[in-house]
Amino acid sequence: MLKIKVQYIAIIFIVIFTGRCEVVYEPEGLDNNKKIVVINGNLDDYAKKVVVTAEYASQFDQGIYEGIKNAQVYLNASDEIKYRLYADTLQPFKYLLDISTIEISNDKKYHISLTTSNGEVFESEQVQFPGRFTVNDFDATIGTKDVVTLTSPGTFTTNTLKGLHVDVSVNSTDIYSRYFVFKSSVVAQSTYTTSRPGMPFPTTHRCVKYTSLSTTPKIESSVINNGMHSLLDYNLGFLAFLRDYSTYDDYNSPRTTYGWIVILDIYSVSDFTYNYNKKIESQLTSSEKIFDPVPSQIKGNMYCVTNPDQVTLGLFDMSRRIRKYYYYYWVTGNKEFIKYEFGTYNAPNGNQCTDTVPQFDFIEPNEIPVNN
Amino acid sequence: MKFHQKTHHWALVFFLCFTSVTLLHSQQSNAKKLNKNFQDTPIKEVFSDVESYFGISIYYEEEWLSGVSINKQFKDADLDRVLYDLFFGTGYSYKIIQGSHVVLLPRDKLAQFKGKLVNYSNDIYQNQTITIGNLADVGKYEKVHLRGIVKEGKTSQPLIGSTVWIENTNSAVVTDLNGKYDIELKPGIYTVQYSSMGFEKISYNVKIISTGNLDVELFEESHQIGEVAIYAFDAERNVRSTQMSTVELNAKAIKQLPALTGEIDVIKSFTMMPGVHSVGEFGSGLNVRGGGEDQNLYLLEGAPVYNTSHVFGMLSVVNPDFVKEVMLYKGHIPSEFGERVSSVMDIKGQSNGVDKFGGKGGIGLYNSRMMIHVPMFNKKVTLKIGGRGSYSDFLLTQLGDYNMRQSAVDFYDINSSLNIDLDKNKISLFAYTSYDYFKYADQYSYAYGNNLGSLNWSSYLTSNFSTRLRLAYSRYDVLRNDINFLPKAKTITNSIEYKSAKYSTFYTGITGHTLEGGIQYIQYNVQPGKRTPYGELSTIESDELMDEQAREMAVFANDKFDVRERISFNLGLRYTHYQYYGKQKVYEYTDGVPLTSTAIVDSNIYGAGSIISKNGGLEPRLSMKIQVSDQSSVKLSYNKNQQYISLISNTSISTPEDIWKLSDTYIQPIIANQFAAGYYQNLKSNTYEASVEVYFKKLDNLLEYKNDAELELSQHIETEVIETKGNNYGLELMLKKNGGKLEGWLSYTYSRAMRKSNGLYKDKMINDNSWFPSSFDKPNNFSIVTTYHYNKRLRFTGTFNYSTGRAASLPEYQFKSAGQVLIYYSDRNKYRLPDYHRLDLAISYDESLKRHKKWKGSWTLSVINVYGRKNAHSVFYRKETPSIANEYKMYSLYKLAIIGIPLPTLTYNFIF
Repeated sequence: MLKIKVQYIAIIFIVIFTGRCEVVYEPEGLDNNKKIVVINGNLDDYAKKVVVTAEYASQFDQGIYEGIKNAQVYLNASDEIKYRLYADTLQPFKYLLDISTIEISNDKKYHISLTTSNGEVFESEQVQFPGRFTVNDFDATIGTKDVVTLTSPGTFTTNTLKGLHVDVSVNSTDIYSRYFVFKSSVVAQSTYTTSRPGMPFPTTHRCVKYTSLSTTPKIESSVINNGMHSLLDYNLGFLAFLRDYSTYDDYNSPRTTYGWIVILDIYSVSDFTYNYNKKIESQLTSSEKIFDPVPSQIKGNMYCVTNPDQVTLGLFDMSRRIRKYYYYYWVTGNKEFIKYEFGTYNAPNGNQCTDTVPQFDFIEPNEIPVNN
Repeated sequence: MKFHQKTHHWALVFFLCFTSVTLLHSQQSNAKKLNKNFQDTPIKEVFSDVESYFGISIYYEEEWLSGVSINKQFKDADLDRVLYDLFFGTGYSYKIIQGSHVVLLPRDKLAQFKGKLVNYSNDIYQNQTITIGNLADVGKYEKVHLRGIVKEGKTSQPLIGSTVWIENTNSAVVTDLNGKYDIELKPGIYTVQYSSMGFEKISYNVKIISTGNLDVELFEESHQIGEVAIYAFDAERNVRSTQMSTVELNAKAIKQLPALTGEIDVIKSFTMMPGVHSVGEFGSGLNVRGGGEDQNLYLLEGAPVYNTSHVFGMLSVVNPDFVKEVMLYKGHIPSEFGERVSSVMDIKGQSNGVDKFGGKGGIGLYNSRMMIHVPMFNKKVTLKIGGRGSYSDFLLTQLGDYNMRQSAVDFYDINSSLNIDLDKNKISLFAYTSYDYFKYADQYSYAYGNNLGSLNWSSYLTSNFSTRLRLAYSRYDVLRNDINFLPKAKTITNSIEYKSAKYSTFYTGITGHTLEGGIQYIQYNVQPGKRTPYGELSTIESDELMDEQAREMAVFANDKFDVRERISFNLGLRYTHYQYYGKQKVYEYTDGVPLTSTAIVDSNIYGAGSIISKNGGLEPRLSMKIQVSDQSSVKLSYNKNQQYISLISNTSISTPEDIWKLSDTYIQPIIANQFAAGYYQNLKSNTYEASVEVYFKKLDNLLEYKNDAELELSQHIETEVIETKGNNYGLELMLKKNGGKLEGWLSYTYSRAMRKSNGLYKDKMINDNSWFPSSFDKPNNFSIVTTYHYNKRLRFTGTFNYSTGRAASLPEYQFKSAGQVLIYYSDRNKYRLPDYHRLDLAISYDESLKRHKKWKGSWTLSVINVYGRKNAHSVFYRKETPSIANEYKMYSLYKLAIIGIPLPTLTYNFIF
């Protein structure tokens, strides 16, 4: 016969402490005093130049880089033709080659070589241009995103922001154009007005501020769709409104942000570069998680010829690039954002507010071509 | 018939014999004839009449014949006839000395005197000796059998696996599924000790004259929910068994170990034993002698458990109230077991019948549990059912981390068994299910669960021949939702299904041999991955990898035998044959280059059932014991194991979504060859047990992940892993004290678990093919577990564990590439995390010590991590905003501690 002693069922909770905690960790005996050479190079068919940087890696927590100057750097083709790169005058660890007058063949393989002033020779593996591709669509839809902010110690507040979800679609019939990297910068334009004594009209100030769709490059592989390598409606990020435009009806009220200029670079890269970037993405997004993958070394395709055992970091790659400029601005009457694609843009030098009208100011919809 | 006698009178008997011979004069036999009828006449009066009638003297101890009356009628009976009739069929013999002196002698004493009934017992005075057989049969047999049943005193249920040890000899047996035992002995006097884990030992002096039965009842130790018990509860087993490299824990007895969540962890308790540890404070499973988590076979009532952890390792999936016995084989694995190369943990539930309704359970801070047993059909059938459930979500709301506050943790498990006792047939059905759910903010969620079932049917065909059929089923399912970005939100699932049939036979009909043989068939079905979009907004395309199928067939045999008095062998052999079969897609790669996705040249689709690859081989399991003395022995063992399934993981701590992978065309089975030697010494009547073991384990075809391996839905996972070999070796020391006010043990392990790739290309190399420590490599491991019994109700428990920090890769440099500032990590596992140590204390109070009390409760207050050591669970880096506060660093390393402060818990356990 079960005899339950009810008085014993009551549980006394003494103290509830779940003490997950983290403290700064400074390991002893970290072996990081060697000179690790880092060489990065890129041959970009959009920029029409080869850029190679050479410097030494920094100790993990320092961020102090020493450039490798006075090196002899070459771009070497597989048919043994080679082109010398010369140091940039302002940044002597950066080596440049203008290829606008050089024919870079799709069929040849290329590699870079670098000889330091003390005779050490570094080379990359041979690489080749990936395939070509086209940008089919670039669009943005009004949506929301929840953002959590710490409003006071221990208190979190969730804010639902309105803004634009930005998507892009690309495709290619070239089997060597399977992997894409997306880099973007965004110039947010806004205005404010001031009234000055003695002036009959208030002065309008126009400000620009750089932001981005994502803090890191976005990397994605395509899928085969109707015989093409395609990436449909790939989300690039979110642009938050500074005010709620969808409910903004007062045409004459002062505006804050009224448009964004999106500068989008889309790269078609090789599978090696794709994997390299995936590793980078994995590293950049991994922190503080219990189940993060075990960290690993991001090794590129550079190596030391004179001392093969010496660790050499960096990547030389060749990429196809398409740059796009899009201007999104709010049209009060239509209660929607209008997209305007254009071919060139004189990007401002950093964040600034001026009285000068920018290249693309607020324009009534019937005054500019609308590209939907 | 049993006699209980005090036998203090050896000296008297000898004295009588001697003096009779020397003092009595020679005399002719008395020619008188006695005619008398004795009816219920006390024997003392009969002797008096006989003495006076025949003129003789009878010498004897009055207490021998106290209360004995005679019913006999003598007619013309001479002295010889009278004495013969009086003592025929009794335990006494007589001797007429010099015609007029009759000396009465107990037959067994006479046999001892003549060397026909040797006293092997510890008690030379033979106090409280139980006599088996008729004293009249003394000297009649060369060999006799001592048989009986060992039962639990409270419930009268048979106790399986109890040890019956004949002290001062090399004889010991273990009770079978009916609690029965049978041991062959020479007639003699022995001290027989009966013991079973969690029960008080009991010893009897047994005088065995002829074959007979002795049933005993054992009662639970006075602390009803156990105390800190030490492995190999039967200390002598440590020395006398041929089995080595085992760790045995009584789950009931370890319930007083401090428990992190107020819940006892049957599996993780083994980490306090030599040769066993876990990667981190949390994390699923164990690492046994440097082996990975997937190299352990966890059998719960014969069914394998593929994920042993609730809440990612907070506690094990095994309900401690269900468990009766846990045996971990970390070295010499009996041939009936295969499937894994590092260890087998055989977890047995309480499957015996009970005579009345009862149960047990516990109420803890984070979860509670209950287990009941119900006898039915005149106790022939017993139903047991129990479960656990968590209510820990509210704790997450107390955490400082926002994401954790938006998270959820939930789990439950249910287990049941139905035991049917049909005398010579025992049938048990077991079923188990578990479920875990974990959600981390709005980023991802996991759900996983085990479903197990087994049927065990034991038949005792004769007294020395029995069979057992075991059918086992296990299924493990994992689901992960990535919901961080709804347009890309996805659900990933994978699963493994296991079916096994094993038929074993046991034969003990050959003196000195214990024979076992059997066959086993295993069927594996693995669903390696399936992806579906999550939610309406998701644009993710569905994808699914093809199911994998394989079968493993095994034949095994084992014999335990003595070749000499002090040398015993345990020889086993297992042969396995493995087939990996379709339907399956197999990729072909360019010859002479490493297996990478870019080296794929073609693929073949194998039809359903067609064999894709085969493997197999012999697996010898050998051990030898040399009994150096009654209290010490030396053991040697060698065993080979093959494992056809591996857990593919690229995390340092095992996660639920790690993928089980069957051996196939490219992934070879793991092969382990292990050599071990040990010395075992018991001291001071087994109060102390000491042991030292050394081992060397050579492993082939181990899998290590490639740098940044992409495991999710990989169509060709062979391109993401690197084959390595391993050398694990170590020294394990153990000193244990049994009984007394202070109990406990010390253990120390020095061990290494090294790995080495052998690739020809960079893609297939780790650390340039140099030896490197595995993630399980913790060279020094030291544990102390002590219990101080202040009185019978109150006891204090303390545990301390120290180990070298696990091997880890740490950031060494930062560099720029692809427009980012990146981290360059060291070679794999080049560094070590800080050493681990932790002290836990507990105080336990039992409400009642009465054996037959229906409700027994026990309170345990424990404090985990008493001095608040911030042991590193993991080390991670974080980008910093350079400022004066962080000395303008761009990155900092952080050490994450799961329990960084003392954590008190209070638990109430009960049994009714």
